[in-house]
Amino acid sequence: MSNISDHLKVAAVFAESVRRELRHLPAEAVANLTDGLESDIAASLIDGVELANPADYAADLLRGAGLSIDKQSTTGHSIISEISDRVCAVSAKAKTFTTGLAPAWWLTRAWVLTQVLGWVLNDRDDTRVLVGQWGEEKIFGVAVFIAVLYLSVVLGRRETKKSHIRNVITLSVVIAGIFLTTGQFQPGSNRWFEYSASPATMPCSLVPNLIGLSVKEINDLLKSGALPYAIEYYDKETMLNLTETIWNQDPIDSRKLVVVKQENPGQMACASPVILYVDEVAVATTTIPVRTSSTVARQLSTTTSSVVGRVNTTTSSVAKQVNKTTTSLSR
Amino acid sequence: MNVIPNRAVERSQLLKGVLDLAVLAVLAEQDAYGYDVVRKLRSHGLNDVAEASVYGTLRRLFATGYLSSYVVPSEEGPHRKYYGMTAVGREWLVEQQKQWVDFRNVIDAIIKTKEEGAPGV
Repeated sequence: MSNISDHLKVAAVFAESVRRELRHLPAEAVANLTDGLESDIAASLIDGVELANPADYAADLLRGAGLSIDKQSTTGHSIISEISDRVCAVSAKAKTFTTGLAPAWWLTRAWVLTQVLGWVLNDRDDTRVLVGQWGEEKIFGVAVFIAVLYLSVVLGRRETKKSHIRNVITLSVVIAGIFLTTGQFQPGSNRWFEYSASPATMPCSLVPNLIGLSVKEINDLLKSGALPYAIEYYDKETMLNLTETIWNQDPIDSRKLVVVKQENPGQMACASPVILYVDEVAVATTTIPVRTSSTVARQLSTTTSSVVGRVNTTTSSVAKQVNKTTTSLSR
Repeated sequence: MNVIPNRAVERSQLLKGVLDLAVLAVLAEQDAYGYDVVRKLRSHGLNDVAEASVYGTLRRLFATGYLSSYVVPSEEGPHRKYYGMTAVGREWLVEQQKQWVDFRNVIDAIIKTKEEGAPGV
């Protein structure tokens, strides 16, 4: 073998063999170690130097570079060690990737926590966004987010030593995030600090007889909180659910609709709604469209006073809690 | 059982401690590519120096900052990677030369004493 091109071919093959012997190293390290190796090997071949075993050559290269030759073997890698090497390489890449994502994770969990705090403290029907979550106090909301973000970053830098704490935090944030994204934390749905007319949170009580009352009268009672029930209206004839239609209806029209049948008068009502069947009647006057019977009026009067009393008590205690919370947060 | 050390291994062990110094001394005269350094070392008598050890040493000295590197395209084949000394490398070489001279003097003195005291020498 005398011409240069033959030497170059041999050099290229040999260099590739050496690279294979170094495959347990990161690709960048192999590239740094073997860059320009072909030309050096070709030059030595031209000088008549005989090439050594690629494994020994790679071992010398590593020794000279001050790198460990522990994984280097003159007999090559076993399948198990090769798989192990590949798993380690993938694991290292994954770790590098996740480490790179850490700031995004800190930001995300700060946002989630701010949303949860906003949901807990918010009693307004508002849009479910960062600033909106905090209602009109937008600057306050942003300030809370910045504070939470700072804590998140500080914690993120420390938490690597305490993996169990990190796991708890991660799990909490993921669960909260799932609730947020599925709309469970609806603005205004938080009733921890305020009175709720929701039947689910009210004590069970007897449902008064509402037959004969107009829809407008019932709606007025619902709005005032005197009727602590969920009401569902159905058309007496067609049995269609009119609840949504009625709520969006003109108040004048709602005077024409009168309850003609009720499913559960005098029964205990807890979470289940009160089912009312309505029918349209002619309105004789514009002031009092439907005359309430004396029985119903008495029942309503009793219910209204007792409910209003509970509402007032609950509202004042809730107001105190909210004031306390707001004051402490403002500090 | 007596283990008689291989002479090549002995020289290799001796060379290991001074290969950095030798490579830097060669490059202090002129920039060179890997095999060129090997050739110069051999021309000075280090015939059994392993090529790959020199290449590895060059990469390590480059990573340490004692050497700079540049690529020269070759018409005959693949590019050649040349190495040259950096200012830091030159300072380190001067320091190492002093250390080597001191070390050599100490060893010379020890060997001379032994030779003088040895019977029949």
